[in-house]
Amino acid sequence: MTDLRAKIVAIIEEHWKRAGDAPLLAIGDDDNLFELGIDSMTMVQVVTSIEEWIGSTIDFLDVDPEQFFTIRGILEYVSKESPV
Amino acid sequence: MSHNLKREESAILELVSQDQCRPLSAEKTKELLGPPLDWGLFLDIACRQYVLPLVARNIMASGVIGGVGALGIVPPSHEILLEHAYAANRRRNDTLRAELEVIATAMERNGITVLLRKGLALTTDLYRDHGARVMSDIDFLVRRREGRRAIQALEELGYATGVPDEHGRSVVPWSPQGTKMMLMTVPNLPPMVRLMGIPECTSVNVGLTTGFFERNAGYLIDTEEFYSRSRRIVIGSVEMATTDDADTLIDLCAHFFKDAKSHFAIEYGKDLTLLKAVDIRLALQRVLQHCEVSEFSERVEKAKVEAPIWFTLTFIDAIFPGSIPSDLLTRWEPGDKMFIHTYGDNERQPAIWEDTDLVSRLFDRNRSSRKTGKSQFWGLTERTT
Repeated sequence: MTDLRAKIVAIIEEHWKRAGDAPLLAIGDDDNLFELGIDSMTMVQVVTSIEEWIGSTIDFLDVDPEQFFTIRGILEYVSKESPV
Repeated sequence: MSHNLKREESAILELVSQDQCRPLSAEKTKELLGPPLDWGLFLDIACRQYVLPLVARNIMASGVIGGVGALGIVPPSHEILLEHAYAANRRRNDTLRAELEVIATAMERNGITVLLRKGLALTTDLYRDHGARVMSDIDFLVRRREGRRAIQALEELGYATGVPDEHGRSVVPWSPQGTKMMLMTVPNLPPMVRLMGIPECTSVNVGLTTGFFERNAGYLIDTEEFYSRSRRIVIGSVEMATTDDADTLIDLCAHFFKDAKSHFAIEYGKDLTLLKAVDIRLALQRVLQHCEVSEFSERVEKAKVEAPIWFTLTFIDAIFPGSIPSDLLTRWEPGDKMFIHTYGDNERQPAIWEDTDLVSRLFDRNRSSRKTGKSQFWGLTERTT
């Protein structure tokens, strides 16, 4: 689980840096990523990278963004839906 | 907030303020529409503000068209145009009402409960004349967990996700990226469209929303609450669920706030419209008539949506002075009122309008070009990506 979490954080930080924003401070497991200031375009890129990593598409008609966009939410999704 | 309204703007504001049961007198209408009114500008403003059919209806109701007393007030060519604008809108809305019946039946057959919102419900409850209000689409609130089935039910009726092309002959699908972005960031499902091939209604758009406020905006309002308080409405031969009066007002205020603040809506020219202001004014009148103001206030405060509601009501009071009870405005007045002049906050592109006059901002046709920053929502269809 620790490795999965580290990978998720790495993906988020990679896209965050590419967007040219100031470095993210430590992300709490339940911090809402949008509320941290990640914009929609960057978030789409984060999701695309996660999809490439797990090898399947995340369908947001089935996944509630309210639950998904935290480290814990992504971790639960990745662990349950597409074990990597 | 001072503003110098053009004569045409003042006339339109006066005309849309009229109750259907108490039309303006012919004398008053003559005073509003007499020389030196610029009829071209008058019609242009009414169209841009989406109120031409309402203006036409109210001019006709005042008795200045088609009678002996009417001579000279409205130019004959414009009389025809006004009558046709109202009649064409009525025919279009008839088509939408018929389509509502088809959709409502399909949803019921599939066990999906949707709440009717905005246009068709307001036209029935508030305008009481289905030719008076412009409607661009049929809007529903749907539970997110039933969203996929609602989309499938619409697809079975021939709807597709996308937008009509400029000729109304085909549907340009949304890109997978665009669909994903919408589902991730706003409480809307991708809009669906069906081509009709009828001159006055080339296509029907269906808007499915799962909540009234932007996702992650920090407001505590659960969609399920709207369902628990819903009521029945009869439209033509259809009876279906809709939001109760206080929730309708919250919905309209939320929608006004969201669009006024959005780069996308500003670029699309639908951020501030007189039509939305008239809707809210009428919805508030209904809440006041039914003594539901305390209920409305309690819900606003429970959901912690005082700021967006204050924003909207302040706008409405500027457009229709005295229309909002002063205690509602003072009750939720924030310490820092600057946010009434900002936009793009939720898109991480905050900007400030240079003007401070809300009514002038409403009527400013160059508002979009004065804005700084760009919406992230453009380029969402296959054609533009």
